[in-house]
Amino acid sequence: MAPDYTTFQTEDFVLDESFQAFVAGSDAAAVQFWQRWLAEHPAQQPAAEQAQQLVLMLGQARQPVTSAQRKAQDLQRLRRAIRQPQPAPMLRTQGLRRKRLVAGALLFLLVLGAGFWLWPAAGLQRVQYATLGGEQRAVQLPDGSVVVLNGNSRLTTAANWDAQSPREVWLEGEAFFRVSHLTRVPNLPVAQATGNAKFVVHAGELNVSVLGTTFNVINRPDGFNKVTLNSGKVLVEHTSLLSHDALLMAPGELVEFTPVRHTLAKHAVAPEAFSAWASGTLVFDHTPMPEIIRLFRDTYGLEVVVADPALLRQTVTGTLPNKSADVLLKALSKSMGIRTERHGNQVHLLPLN
Amino acid sequence: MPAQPLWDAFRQGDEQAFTTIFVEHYEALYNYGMKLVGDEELVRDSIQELFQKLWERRAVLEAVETIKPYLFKVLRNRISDNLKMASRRSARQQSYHEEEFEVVYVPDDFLTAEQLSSEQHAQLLAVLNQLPQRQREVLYLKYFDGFSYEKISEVMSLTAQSVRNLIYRAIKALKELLLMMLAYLLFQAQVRYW
Repeated sequence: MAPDYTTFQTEDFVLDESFQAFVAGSDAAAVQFWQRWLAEHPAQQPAAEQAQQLVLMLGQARQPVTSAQRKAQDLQRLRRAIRQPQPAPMLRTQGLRRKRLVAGALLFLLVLGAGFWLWPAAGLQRVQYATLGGEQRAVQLPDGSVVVLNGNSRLTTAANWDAQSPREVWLEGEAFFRVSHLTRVPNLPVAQATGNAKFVVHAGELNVSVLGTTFNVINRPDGFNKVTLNSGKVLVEHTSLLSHDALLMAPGELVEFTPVRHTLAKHAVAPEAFSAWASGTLVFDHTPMPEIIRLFRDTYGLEVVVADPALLRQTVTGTLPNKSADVLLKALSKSMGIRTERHGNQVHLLPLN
Repeated sequence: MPAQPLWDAFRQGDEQAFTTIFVEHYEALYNYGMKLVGDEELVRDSIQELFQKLWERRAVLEAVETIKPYLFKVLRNRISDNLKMASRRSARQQSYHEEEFEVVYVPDDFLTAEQLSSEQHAQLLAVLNQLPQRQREVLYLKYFDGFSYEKISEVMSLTAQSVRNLIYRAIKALKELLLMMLAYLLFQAQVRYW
């Protein structure tokens, strides 16, 4: 039985769970219902407005972020406690060696704990979307966000999303994100978003948090980890055991993780060049040959063999279609004045004669 | 309920499912515990004991509909027991049985977004901290953890109706504050529509 909303006072609206969902925008049916109901019952509008303000005010509640280290420590403590007690071997080591041993063991435990924390929780129901080399696929997520997966990529997320926790996905490979905005709070800093307002992409070393934007993320093997932002605001974080690096990105910026220096670096770029693949082209601008070879490997699963090392020092400029590897190879060979031979997954770049 | 298989796997002795439950709920439990007593060591120890006990008793545990309120309830009881034990040890008489927790709202609990000026923010905290203890706790579970009335009643061992009553009274007090704020806002500009 639906309550009689015409007798509702401010407090009653605030307490009504469907009204709360309407204010939070978390339930499309509730939003529709209340918009119509309020239009039809102007007498109740002042009370409902007060209630909206109250719900919004209380909606500013947020939990502090607990330290990952404390969590890892407590998880480790729990693991030790529940495992069968084993007779501890007496270690007769001394001085520095012992210290190192202890430090090593501690580090190992911490890494274990942190790794566990960063990965999608095992045992939960998950959905995975994957593409083969050269394949592209657009995926619509439960919140309406759209992800275009580039070739050779994998996106993992929970099967069920709720309004209480951040929207989270895990990416291996490359993808272009168009994330729907769920919060009603204007100019909310990403770091302070609560509930499902935040959308987080876990991509290798990087955690990319947004509220609603378009951006491109690359997480390829050997630490090739980049984010480029087309619109909106993005918070990129790199968390390791001892450090926490965070950068707020503006449109037109690229943030990458540099494994050598183990830090985040930011440059100004043309973001469209990085996301053009999602609309069918590749934009090269003095792109060095090794980067193109990497692209063939990562996105198309092709191994490129170059006969003449001088070719590696060339750069490529131009816009090429990326629908199929063969068409791309043909266009590339034409622009470079070479010919290509393909055998299975191997491509040879050869001089014309 | 997506949580159910995880809980069942844990009851069957799946250690990974068990640690997943720990990892997924640790932060919320820690924050709730800290809200109740504000003693980090006590909260961490209580969470630890709670999970160790769960693991020992996994074979005899029952199925739960949702994991989170169940864990909250057990943590609440455990912290309460630990507090009583500590007070007994210190020979301090615990006369107010129900008022063992001291939920205090601090500035960091609420965003200082455009919605609230810093003055209003301070007023909000002042009003919240004047509420009776249980009203503060109910508000915390409702607005910081997003629990439904039913789940709050499970956590605090109250009827759903008393939870509603508690929140109702808390909201009434907050409404007075809001009306003051609105009057103030009307001076400045019109209330922003969205």
